[in-house]
Amino acid sequence: MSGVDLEVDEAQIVGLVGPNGAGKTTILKMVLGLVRPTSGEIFIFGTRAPCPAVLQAAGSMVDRPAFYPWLTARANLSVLLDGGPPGPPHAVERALELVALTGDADRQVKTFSQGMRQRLGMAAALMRKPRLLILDEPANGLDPAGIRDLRRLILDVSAEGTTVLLSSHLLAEVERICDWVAFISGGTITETRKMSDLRSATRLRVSVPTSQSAQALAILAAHGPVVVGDGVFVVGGLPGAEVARLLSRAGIFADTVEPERDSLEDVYLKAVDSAEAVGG
Amino acid sequence: MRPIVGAVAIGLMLAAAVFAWQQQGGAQQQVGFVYSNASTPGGIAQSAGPPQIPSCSSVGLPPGPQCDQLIARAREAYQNEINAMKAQAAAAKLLVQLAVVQQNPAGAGLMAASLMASVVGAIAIFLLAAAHFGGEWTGGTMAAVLSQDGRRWRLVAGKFVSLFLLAQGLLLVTWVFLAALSLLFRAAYPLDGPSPLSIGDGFAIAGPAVLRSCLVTAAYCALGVLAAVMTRNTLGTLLLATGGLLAWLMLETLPSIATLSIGYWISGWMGFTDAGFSSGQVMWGVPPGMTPSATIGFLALLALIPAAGAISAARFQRLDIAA
Repeated sequence: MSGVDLEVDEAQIVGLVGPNGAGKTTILKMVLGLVRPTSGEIFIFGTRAPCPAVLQAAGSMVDRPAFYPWLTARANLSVLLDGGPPGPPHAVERALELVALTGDADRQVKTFSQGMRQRLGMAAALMRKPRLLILDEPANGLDPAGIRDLRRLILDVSAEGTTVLLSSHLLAEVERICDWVAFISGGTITETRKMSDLRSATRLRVSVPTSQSAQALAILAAHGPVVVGDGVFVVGGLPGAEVARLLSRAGIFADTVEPERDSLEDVYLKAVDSAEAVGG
Repeated sequence: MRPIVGAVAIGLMLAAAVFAWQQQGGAQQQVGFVYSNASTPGGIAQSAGPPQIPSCSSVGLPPGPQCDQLIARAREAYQNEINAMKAQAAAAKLLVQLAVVQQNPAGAGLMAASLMASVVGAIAIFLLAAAHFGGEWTGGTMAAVLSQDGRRWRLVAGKFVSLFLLAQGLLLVTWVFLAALSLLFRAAYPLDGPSPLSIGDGFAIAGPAVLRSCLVTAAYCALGVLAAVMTRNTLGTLLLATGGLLAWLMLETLPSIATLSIGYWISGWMGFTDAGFSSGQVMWGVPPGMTPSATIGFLALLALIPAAGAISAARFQRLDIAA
């Protein structure tokens, strides 16, 4: 890893995205003190990490969630809770309830599906009501309903003031819940984007009759139209009403003028392509 | 409780039963000899008969250095025979004494303590260390455990303490099992001659051995923890700890450095001798011609524990926790 420079504001949700082997999990492990950086510093809530006191304020789920298979879900959480400072009252019960595992609390973990283990991993991470929540691919193994519940859970804890740092391959999920996204490639954070900027950066997709396509392009030439089909082109930097006004003055009536924006996937793929180009 | 703990406890109890059963059978065969005139110095001399020392004329040699040498050799051979018979009598006596102790429910703790201090006990503790600490890496739970409290030295210390407590639990279970067997042994292998021990006598014999075995098992726990930190997996922990221990024992075969062997230390501290049958002696060879020192054993074992602990903590502190 090198060139990892990331600042996360409190109560924000930050997503780390990047190709396999880019270093997402390693960064999360460095924050947790599981992997020691050879150089550089990590500060959590203003305190240099790794620091036991700071770690106690963090909940985490890194790698695949692993538990003692012969113990029940409840016993596993109790063992983990006993391994650190005392947690809040009824921490285990509350955590099981949060991930909807109360009914399975007394089953041995070896009988759990991957999705249930993932939820138990979330319960372990949330058990101490952490100020910082670190999640590595939290949606792995979850079904669509489980992913929806996870999304709600993350948004809820964030709304209560918890800072969330997560890595995920599910770009649509990252796009829906994160406030910030950081792109990682080859062990380096190549770009950090605020999701609200990404959402507001829209272009217009304009569709005109084919016979008037050339004329319309000439009118909008100053705005760099990109032709994407017969009579269909994309322009940026103009509000829709202005586009309609310019075209109508020339007697061109657009069939449609729709806002269009890059999805996180588009931005991500561009970032990856760009990083690969720079890397040679 | 980890399933392996139950399996190890059962294995230890079976091993204890086999050793105790062999001890009882052997003692019953020897008790007649031990409580007869044949085991006394006079009886031994009588059994050996008068020394067959040849004269110079009987071997056809003229008096002189050559004949004197021959006669000296014959005297030495006779004395060696007497010494061997005395050692055999002492071993038989010790075997019967141990069998009498084993037939006492409280005294059965001597066998349990000896077993825990032996290679059998070492392997049992290494198995637990492999599952209890090495298994945290193999099972992938190390990251979750360390994420609860980042003080790694605390985890190493916690693993050592919990292993030690488990080892004492195993000793207790084995003792209780042998205590139950002692009643069966008393009925199945009655020993005519020696007086049975009182429960108080049994505790007086077993108690010190149990206390001494605590230091030995603590050393095994420290070695098990060290092996776990070095190999970071279940099987590796077991193989490194057991292989390392056996290799260390091999030092006993080199007289010049035999005192550096852990076998020497344990034999000295536990009082395992070369003169009789005990579970410890079966598993530990006493260096030939040596009387291991209890003081050296105590000091060496006492130093081994913090040394192994410090190496484990220092190594663990620098480790990256991989998937």
